[in-house]
Amino acid sequence: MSDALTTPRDAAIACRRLVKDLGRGKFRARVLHEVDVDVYAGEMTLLVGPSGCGKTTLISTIAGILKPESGSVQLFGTAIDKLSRRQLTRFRGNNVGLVLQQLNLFPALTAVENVAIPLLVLRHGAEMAYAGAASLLEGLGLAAKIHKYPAELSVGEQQRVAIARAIVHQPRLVICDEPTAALDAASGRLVMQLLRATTLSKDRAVLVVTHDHRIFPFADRIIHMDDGRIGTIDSNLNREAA
Amino acid sequence: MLSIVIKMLFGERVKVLGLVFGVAFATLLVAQQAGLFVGLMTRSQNVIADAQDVDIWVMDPAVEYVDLIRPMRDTELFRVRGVPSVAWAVPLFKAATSVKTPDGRTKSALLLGVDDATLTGVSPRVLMGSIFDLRRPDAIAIDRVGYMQLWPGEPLRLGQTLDLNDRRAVIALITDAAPAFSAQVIIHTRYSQALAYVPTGRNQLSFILAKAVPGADAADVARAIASRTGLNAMTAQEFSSRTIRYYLKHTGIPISFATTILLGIVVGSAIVGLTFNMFVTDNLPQYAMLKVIGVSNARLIGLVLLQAAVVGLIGYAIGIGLAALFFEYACTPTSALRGFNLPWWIATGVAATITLLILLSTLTSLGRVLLAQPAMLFWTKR
Repeated sequence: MSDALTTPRDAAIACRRLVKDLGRGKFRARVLHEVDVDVYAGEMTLLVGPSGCGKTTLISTIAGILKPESGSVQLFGTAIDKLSRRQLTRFRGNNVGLVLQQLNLFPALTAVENVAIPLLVLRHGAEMAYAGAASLLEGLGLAAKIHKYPAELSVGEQQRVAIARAIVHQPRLVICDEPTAALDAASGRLVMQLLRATTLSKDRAVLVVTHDHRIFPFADRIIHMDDGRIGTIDSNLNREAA
Repeated sequence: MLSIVIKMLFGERVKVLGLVFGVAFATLLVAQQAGLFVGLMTRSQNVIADAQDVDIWVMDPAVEYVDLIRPMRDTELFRVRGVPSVAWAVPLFKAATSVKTPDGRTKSALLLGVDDATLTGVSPRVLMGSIFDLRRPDAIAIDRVGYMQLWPGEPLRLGQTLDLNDRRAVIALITDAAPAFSAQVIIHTRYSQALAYVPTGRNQLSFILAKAVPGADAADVARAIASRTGLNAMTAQEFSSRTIRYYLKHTGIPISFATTILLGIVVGSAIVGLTFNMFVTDNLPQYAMLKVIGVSNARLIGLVLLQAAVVGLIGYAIGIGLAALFFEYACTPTSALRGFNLPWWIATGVAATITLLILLSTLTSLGRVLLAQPAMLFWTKR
């Protein structure tokens, strides 16, 4: 089934007539074709579709990492396409947490230092930042690993550290790009359970880009994309939770 | 946040070592060569430096620097003394010669004949003996390093004799005279004695050393001397500068040192620039991740510059420390390299040079950091 679009003010993410081109010269191609899509707080939304359909471009644009050619993106009522680069960076730092497929943990930093970075960037005191990071890692079952370096952690543990880093500063939007792509079924299931348990709240939206059908049951909504356009939207799912 | 970026930096140990080596290498080479160059230039006017109570140097107009001697008539001394505002004027004889020990060891020497009455011009740093002992027959003063060249391994001792142009010279005084440009043995004796050691032609007076009366400006008095006598007269400072300028202009010394210093800067810049570029390139995803997390471009540049500053500081400390060790242990007061040192202003100048080197070397890398797009994090997987 397909949802009607709500007003931007009601949605955590509201994209309207979003157009994005990638490449230069003769290689320039339209990747997003006037995309309209809403994502709601309190829900885990999956963005699915074949490779090259524009999923990553869409979440990059939603996160303010790519600038659209036209159209608008509102996050919690703020039109991010109207923000200056500095304002956008600050807004993203405050409101968006990202978990990427390649976790991009800092190899020279311990788990707790990696997780503390967003708090330090937001100029929390070091003591408070490390205490907050350690507390969150303990909550994720990594109490014994907080002083380990990423290379000393298993892939699953690294994934948990990356999730902790994405949510330690309490962002209102958490975006995950293929969080289970490198994991086996059991580990992927664990990560999704963890994501639901730790990131989802009534004032926080979670948007997950995935190819992985195994994690569809964790979704509240699934948005299907194809060829740079939004297709069907399946709502009120969360069969796993049910 | 500062400690985080420092840890990020030291996570790349090999590259940090390369960066520190590059900076230390450039610092050591530039500081050591600059110190040697300045020391050499200082040596070129050692005779002027040792005549500490002298305001004005008077010489034949053809004389361009302290090592070029064109003797004047002795009567010029009286003409200079007759110039108003001249408190006193004394003769100085200067000649290159050679000395021989009784057992045949021979060295080249710089012979300085100072005023018989006042002994003005003898190095004030006396190590052994009394300056008034120079008034004894055949008495000479010798510098410590010269003594050690003539009697290697022997303790300093007064009363040793030397052969100076087939005439007997007795060491009555051992000084710590400022080292000469070409590391000769430095011998001071009375003017009359010096003329006996090195017979010359009709004109014998190398320089006239003068003092302005209290309250008179030495430069004004020098101009008055030149105007009244037709001789060349200038302050000690001006004569030092003129001597240094002569060496800078007419010898290959500055080009040689400048080439080495430039080489140090270029090689150091290349090592630092390339290694830092590699460091930044390898860490672009991390910088992009910091941007994703909310670090602004300005703050990121500040953090990258901090990383550069840390390696710069460590490299500079190592390089300047090694240079200081070189001057401390290779240029001892008893060695042939005495007088070479590392003055604070060279250390400061090198610090400024290294700062510039690091800034230039990191400039291209900073561009890459600025251009690092967070979007790369999404696409690097493919």
